[in-house]
Amino acid sequence: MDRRREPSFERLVDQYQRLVYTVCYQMVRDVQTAEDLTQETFLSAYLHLADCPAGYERQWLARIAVNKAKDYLLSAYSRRTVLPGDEEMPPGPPEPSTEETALSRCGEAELRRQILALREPYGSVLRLHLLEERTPEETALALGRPMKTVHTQIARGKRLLREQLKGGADP
Amino acid sequence: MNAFDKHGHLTEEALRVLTDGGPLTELERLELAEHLSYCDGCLERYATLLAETPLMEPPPRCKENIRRRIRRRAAGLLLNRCTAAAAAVAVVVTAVWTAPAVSVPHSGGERPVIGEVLRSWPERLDRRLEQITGLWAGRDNIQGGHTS
Repeated sequence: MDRRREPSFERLVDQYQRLVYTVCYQMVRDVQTAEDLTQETFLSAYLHLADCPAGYERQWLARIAVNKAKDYLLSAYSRRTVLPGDEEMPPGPPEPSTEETALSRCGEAELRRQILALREPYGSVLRLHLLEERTPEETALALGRPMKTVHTQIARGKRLLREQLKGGADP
Repeated sequence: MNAFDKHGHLTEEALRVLTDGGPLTELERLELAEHLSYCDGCLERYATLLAETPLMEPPPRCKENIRRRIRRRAAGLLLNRCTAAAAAVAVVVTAVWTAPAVSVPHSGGERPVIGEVLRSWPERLDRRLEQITGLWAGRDNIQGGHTS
């Protein structure tokens, strides 16, 4: 990396800190968190400056900011929602999978109907994974989504499905 | 609101609500962020929309805090490297010191060469930190560093 050719990082901060801050704020909607994520965005940008495609600083920084906001929202969401869900589950292995529980409760036709009715971005993922029995890897490839995202969407989609089925089965 | 179309991309409505600060739950914002984190097309649409939106001004201390965090991280990375180098030197020194076949000439127990290297480390650390500050300011002439 030739550091002599790099533009001043300070200039990059001056030029884009408003954009980065706005993206962070629009995602998390809290000024203090947005400020912290703005700082993290520029720290990451500084450490990976060589990866920035020339002329695409704006999009590159917006993406880092979105990623920082995503990580923050994901950990906040997981803290709140996954733990209570886990408490509801019976302790000890083995635990029946969502689809098995669902099948035994409402039958295959109903499960199929519910999967097809599931909203995006979860519907397409679970259609491939549960109905067409594709692996998460194949699903990720077919939809052009990162593996990590597909894993998250499968887990969250199943949770939504379970809630949907619970609602339908216990009127 | 339908945040995603049937192809799994963000709807115009979702992007508008996001940039206008309209009602979005935390889960909806997480879903938008997850999509924007990998989809180039939707990120470009979002960036275009942002160009038409008045941007928010971060607090004035924000920039100084960025600079401080970068400096702290860079110093940490540098210190890690120095610690690793010091450990390597310690291994060599111990090996040389304890090896019976090697005779190290010494007068009064002093090993001037190694002692000098160890003494000069803090100065080298300072010099590297100076270079980091130089990069922040976009100074062209970085001396003594690895610039190729």
